Amino acid sequence: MLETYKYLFLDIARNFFRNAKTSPLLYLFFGFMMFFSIVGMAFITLFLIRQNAEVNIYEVFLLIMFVITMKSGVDFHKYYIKSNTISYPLSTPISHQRTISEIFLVVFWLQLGLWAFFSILFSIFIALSEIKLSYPIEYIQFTMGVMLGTILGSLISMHFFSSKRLRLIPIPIFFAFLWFYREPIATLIILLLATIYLIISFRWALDSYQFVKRIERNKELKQVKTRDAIKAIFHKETTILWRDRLLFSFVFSAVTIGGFSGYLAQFGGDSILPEGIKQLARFITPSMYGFLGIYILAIYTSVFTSLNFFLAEEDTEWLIRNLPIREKTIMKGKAVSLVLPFICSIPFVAFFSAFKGLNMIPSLMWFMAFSFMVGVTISFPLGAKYMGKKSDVLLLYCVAMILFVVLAIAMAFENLISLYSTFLIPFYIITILVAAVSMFLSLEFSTYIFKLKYNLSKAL
Amino acid sequence: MIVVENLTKQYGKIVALNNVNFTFNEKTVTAIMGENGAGKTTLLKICAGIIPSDNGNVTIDGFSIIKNSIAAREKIGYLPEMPYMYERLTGREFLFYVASLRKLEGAKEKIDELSKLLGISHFMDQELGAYSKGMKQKISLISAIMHNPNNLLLDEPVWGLDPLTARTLQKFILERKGTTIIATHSPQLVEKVANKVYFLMRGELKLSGDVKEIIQKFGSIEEAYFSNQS
Repeated sequence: MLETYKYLFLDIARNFFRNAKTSPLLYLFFGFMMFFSIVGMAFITLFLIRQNAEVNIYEVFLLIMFVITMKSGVDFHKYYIKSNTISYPLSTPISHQRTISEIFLVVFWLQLGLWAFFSILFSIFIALSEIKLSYPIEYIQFTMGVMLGTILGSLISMHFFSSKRLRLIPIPIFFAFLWFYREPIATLIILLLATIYLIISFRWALDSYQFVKRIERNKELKQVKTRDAIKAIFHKETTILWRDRLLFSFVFSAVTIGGFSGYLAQFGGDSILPEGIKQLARFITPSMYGFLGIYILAIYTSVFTSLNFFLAEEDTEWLIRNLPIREKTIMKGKAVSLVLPFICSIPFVAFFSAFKGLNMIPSLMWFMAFSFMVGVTISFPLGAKYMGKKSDVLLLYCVAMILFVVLAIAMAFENLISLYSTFLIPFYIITILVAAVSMFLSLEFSTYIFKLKYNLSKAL
Repeated sequence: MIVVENLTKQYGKIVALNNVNFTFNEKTVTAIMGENGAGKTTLLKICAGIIPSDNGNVTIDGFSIIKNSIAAREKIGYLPEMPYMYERLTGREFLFYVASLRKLEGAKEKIDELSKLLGISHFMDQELGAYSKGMKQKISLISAIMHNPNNLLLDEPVWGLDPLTARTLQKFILERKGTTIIATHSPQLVEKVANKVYFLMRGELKLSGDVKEIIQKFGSIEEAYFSNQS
C-alpha cells in the first residue's frame, strides 16, 4: 500500500539530510535566515497590533494561499511531470490514477508540514510577547487555504503541461469565487469543489506526463555557427533565457514593478494597498519605494539568473569539465550573458520616472547598476561552489538576504550624503567603481572556487 | 596514447579504483569489462578530466590530465554513459556550441557529414528535450568524435542505438587509428571491435590480455567474464 508515496517521501527526506550534511554552512545560514524572517514577521505583527491597526485577515489568507499554490505547483511539476524516476511506478500494474494521487499526497503533506512549522514558530514568538491571540476559526480557515492552495497549484501544474489547457478554466473561477465571497463557508465550498475536480483530473493526468513539445527551430539556422568561446557561452545562455520566456518576463517585471512602485511613490498607497500593508506604508518614503522596487527586480534579474546559470549545469557539468576550456572563460561567458537581463530591467527607470519625474533618473540608474553588480558579486562564488546541487531556493533566499543588507547600507550612505550635498555624481561614480572592482574580484574568486572544487573532491 | 599510473579513487568507504595501472596504446581498441560498480565509468571519467582521482596520474599523449589539463582534454573525445545535454538547445545548436568551445574549423561540414552517417540529420533542428535516449546518444557521439580526437573514450557506446547505427559505429571504431577505450557490458561488442580487454572487479584488475588469445583460452569473452567473476 502507498509504495510510491512512501518511497518518494523517503527520497525527499534523504536528499534533504544528505544535502544538509554535504553543505552544512549553507543550511545553517539558511536556518538562521528563516528564523530571522519569522521573527521579522512576528515583529511586524506586534507593531501593527500596538499601532491599533486594522489588519484584514482575509488578505493575509489570500497571500499565504497564493504562496502555497506557487510552491505546490513547482513541487508537483518536479515530482511528477519532470521526474525521471516516476516511469517505474507508472509501468507497474498499479493504476496510473493511484500512482499520481500518491504523488499528490506527498506534495500535500509537504505543504501542510511547512505550514505547521512556520505557523507554530510564529505563534510561539507572538506568545513570548505576552500578547494573547486567539483565532481558532481563522487558523482553521488558513489551514483550509493551505490545502486549497496545494490542490489548485497541483491542478495548474497538471493541466498547464498537457495538450488540453482548456482544463485550466475552472481554476480562475475558483479564485474569483474566493475573491468575492470572503466567508469561511465559501472557502469550504471551494475546497470541496476543487477536491472533486482534482479527483476527476487524476484520470487525465497521464496526458501531462506524455506531453512533450517537439519544437522545430528551422527559422533560426542563420544563428547556428561557430563562435569565439565567450560569445558561444553568451549565445547559449541567452538562447535558453529567450526560449524559457525569461527575457520577456524580465521586461514585464521591470515595467510592472516600475509602474507600481512609481505610482506608490507619487500617490501613496491609500487607494490600492490592502489595509494591513497600508498601515506600514505610512512609514515608507518615496525613495524607499524605488529602493524596494529595484531590490525585488535585482533579485529576479541578477541573483536568480546568476545562480541559475550554475545550478542549471547540474547534469551537464561533465561537458564543462571535459571540454578544453579554461574555468575563467566559463565565468566570463556567464558574466557577459548577464548584460541582457540587465538591459531588460532598464524599463523600470522609465516607468518609475513617469510618476516621479526625470530628476530621479541618475539616482535610479546608479542604484539599479549597483544592485545588479552586487547581486552578481554575491551570486557567482556561491553558484560556482554549489554547482550541481539542488539547493536553488536556499541559495536564492540566502543571497537575497545578504543583498538586502548591502543595498540598505548603500542607500543609507546616499541619504546621508544627500543631507550635506545635492551633488551626488562623485558618490555614484565611486560606488559603481567599487562594485565593478568587487564584481571582477568575485569572478576571479569564483574561478578559484570552481577549480578548487575539482581539487577538493580529490581529497574527499 | 593514454597512460594510467597508480590510480586510486574512493567514494566514501567504497573503493572504485584501487591502485590500477594501464597503458592504452595507439591503434588499439581496448575494452573494459566488469560488473556494475567495478570502476569502469570512474576510470573513463578520470581519464576525461571530469572527476579527480585520489592518487595517481593519467597522461594523455604525454600531457597530464591534472597539470596540463587543457592540452590533455584537447586530445580526448568522450561519450558519457548518460548523455545529459542542454534541453532547450537543438541538436545542431548543441554541436556548434561544443565545436566553438573546441575551436573546431570546418564544423558545419563535419556535423552535416556525421549527422547523415548516424541517421539523425532530420532531427537536428528539434530541441534536445524532445529527443529519445538513442537520439541523444547519437548527438553525444557526434560531439565526441567531430574533432577527430586521437584518444576516444566511449562509455557504453551502443546502448540505446538502433542496429544500423550500432553497426556504423562498430565500423567507425575498427577504422580508427588512435587510442580507443570502450567501457561496456557487451561481450559481442568486445569480440567484434576490441584488440585488448581488461576485466575489472571492485576496482582491481582481474584479467587482461589480447582478445583473440582470451577467446582461444576460454572459448568466448562471455565465458572469460564469468570465469573471473568468482
